[in-house]
Amino acid sequence: MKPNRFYFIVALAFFTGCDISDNDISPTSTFVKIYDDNRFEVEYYPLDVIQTADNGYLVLSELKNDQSLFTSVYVLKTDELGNVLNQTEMIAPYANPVNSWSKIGDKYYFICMDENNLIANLVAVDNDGNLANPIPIPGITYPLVSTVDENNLVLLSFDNSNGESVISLINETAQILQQASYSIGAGVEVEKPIIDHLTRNGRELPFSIGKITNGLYYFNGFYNYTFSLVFTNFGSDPTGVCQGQLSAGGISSVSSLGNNVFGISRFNFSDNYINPISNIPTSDITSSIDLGGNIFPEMASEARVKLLNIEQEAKWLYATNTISKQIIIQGFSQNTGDILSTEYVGEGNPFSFASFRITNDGGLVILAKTAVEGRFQRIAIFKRDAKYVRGLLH
Amino acid sequence: MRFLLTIVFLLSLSTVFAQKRGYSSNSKDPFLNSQWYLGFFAGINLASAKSITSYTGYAPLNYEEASVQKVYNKFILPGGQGGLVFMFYTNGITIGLKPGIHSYSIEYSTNMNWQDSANPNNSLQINYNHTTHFNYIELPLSVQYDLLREKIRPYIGLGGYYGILLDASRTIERSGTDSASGSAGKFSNQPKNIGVKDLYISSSVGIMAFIGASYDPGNIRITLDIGYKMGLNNITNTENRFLNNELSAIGEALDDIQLNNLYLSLGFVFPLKFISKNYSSFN
Repeated sequence: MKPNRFYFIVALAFFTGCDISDNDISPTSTFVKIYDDNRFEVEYYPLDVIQTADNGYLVLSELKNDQSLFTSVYVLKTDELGNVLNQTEMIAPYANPVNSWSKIGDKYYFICMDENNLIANLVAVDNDGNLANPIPIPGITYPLVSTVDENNLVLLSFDNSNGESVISLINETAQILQQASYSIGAGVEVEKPIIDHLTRNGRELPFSIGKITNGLYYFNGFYNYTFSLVFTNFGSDPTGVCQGQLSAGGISSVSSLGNNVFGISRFNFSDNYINPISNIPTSDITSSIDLGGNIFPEMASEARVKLLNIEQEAKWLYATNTISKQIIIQGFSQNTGDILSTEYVGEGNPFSFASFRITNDGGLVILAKTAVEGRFQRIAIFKRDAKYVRGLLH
Repeated sequence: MRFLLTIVFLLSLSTVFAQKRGYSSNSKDPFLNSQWYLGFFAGINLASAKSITSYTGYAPLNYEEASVQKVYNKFILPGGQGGLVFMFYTNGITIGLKPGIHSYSIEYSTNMNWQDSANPNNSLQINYNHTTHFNYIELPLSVQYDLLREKIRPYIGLGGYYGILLDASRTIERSGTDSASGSAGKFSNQPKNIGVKDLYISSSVGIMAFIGASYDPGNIRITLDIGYKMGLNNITNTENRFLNNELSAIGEALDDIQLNNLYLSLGFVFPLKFISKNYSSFN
C-alpha cells in the first residue's frame, strides 16, 4: 500500500470514529425539568412520580392552600421528555394527597381526603393524566400512607375519634377487604404530631406501609405512644413491634427482603443512620436504637428518605437530601451491606428529595422540590439513564 | 496523537496535490513555478451560536414556554486566534494549512418573571446572561486563488477545518428587579464562573470562505484574510446536556448549537525556496 493511501485510510478512520458521530443521545434518557408557575404565592410539594405506559410521567403533588388547613391535590402528566401534557388541581373538598402512586391494571391510584368529613377517597388516574371521580373509602379518616399490594392497596390511616392507627386492605373500587386498628395511646402528645404532619404545620413524619409475606404486613406509624415499626397479620394485636422514641426516634424508611431482613434508615433525634441489612424480628418487641447502622452526618435532619430494592442486582438505592440542600443517592449491597456509590443531584438553588423510581429504560427518575430563585417552591424532575444507575450499583 | 495524525494526513494530501500541479504546469521547470511558505498568523473574531434544537430546563405550568427560551446575541463578543502557517503556492493557487489556537465567545440570555396574583406590584424579574468561552486547537486546510498577480494580490479562498476543544468555561451574570422586598430596586449579583468543557464534545468541523490580499515587500509575504467560518456539527454534548448541577438548578439546558464566526487574520509568511537573490517565484 502506498504511504499516502495509508495515511488517508488512517485519517478517515480517525474522523469517522470521533465523537461527532456518537453525539446523538436521546433527550428522553437524561433530562431535568423544573415545573415553574409564575404566580408568586403558589407553592408545590411533590410526593411521587411514576412512569406511564407511554413512557411519560405522572406526578402527584400537594399544593399550598391558604383557604384550608390541608394542602390541595395536584396531578401533572408529562411526556417522555418531561414536557407538560396535562395538569389538574382538584377542587375542594378534596385535599391532603398521601404519599404515592399505586399502579393496578392500567390505572394509577392515589388516596386523598375529603376535608369536610375527613374521609379518605380513592382516585383513579388514566395514562393521560385524567382523573376519575373520587370514591370514598367508608369509615377511613385521615389517610397517612398507602402502597400497592398486588391488585389491592394497603393503607395506613388515623382514627382520631378512637385514637388508633388503622391498617386497611382495599381494592380498586374502595371496598375494604381487611382491616385492623391499634391504639396510639391516649393524650394530646401523641395526636399532635399526627395532626401537625397532616396540616404541614410540623414535622413530616416518615409513615410507611408494606408487605413482608402473604398475610404479614408492616406499617411505620404510631403505636402505643411511640413512632414504631409495627408487624401485623390484621389480628387484634400486632405480631411484633420495633419501637421508636416517641416521635423523636424511629425508622425513617424501610423495605423488606423477607425472612425478617430489612433495609432501613432510622433517625434518633437529629442523627440519621443507614443499615442496609437489618434483622428485625416480626414477632417480638424490639427497639429501633438496637438496629444500629452507620451514622450519615450529611443527611438532613427530618428529611424524607426512600429506598428502592433493585432485586436483580441485590442492591439498595437510598435517596434523601443533605444538609447542603442537595439530593444524595447511595447504592448499597444487600449481601454485604457495603456502600457502593454516592451521587449528588442539584446545586445552587435548594433541592429536597421527594421520590424516585426505576424507569422503563433502566434509568432513574427522581422527583424533587426545588426553591426557584431560593424562594418559589416548585416541582423538579431529574431523569438519569441506565448508565447512571449502573454507576450507582457498582 | 489526533493532532499528529491530522497534520500527517493534510500534509500528505497537499504534497500529492503539489506534485500533480507542478508536473502538469506549462512551465518547463516546475521547481521555478512553485513556492513553499512557513510563517505565522494572528487575528480577532466575532462568534455566534446557531441553535439547531432548543432545550430548556423549565417547563412552564401557566405561561408560554417561548418566554423562557434563550435569546442569542450574535457576533458581539470578540475572540482571538493565532498559529502557524504552512502554504504551498503554484500558478496563482495557494494551499494553506494553518494550525492554531482559536478562542471564541458566545452569549445568550434568559428571562424569568413572577408576580403575585392578588398584588401585581409584588413581582420579581430575573435575567441570566450566559457567556461561554471556548478554546479550540484548529486545523484548517484552505485553497485560495489569486485574482491578480501584482505586488498586492487580492484573493478568494475556501476551506474546511477540524477543531479539538481544549477548554470551555462559562460566566453567568444574574440581575433583575425585585419589587417584592419592599422596594423596586434593580440588582445584579457577582458573576459566577464555572467550567463547562464536559458539556461540549471535543470535535468541531466546519467550512470557511474568505477574501483577502497579500503583499510581498521582499522575501516575506504579508496576508490579510477576512472570512466566515461555519460549523457543520452540533458541538453540544447531548449526553451531558442536563448533567451540570449548577446549570440545571437554574433551569439551564444546552441547545444543540453550531459555532459560526467572522474573523480577521494577519499573517506573515516566508518563502522556503530561495532560488536566487533576484528571483521571485510569485510570478
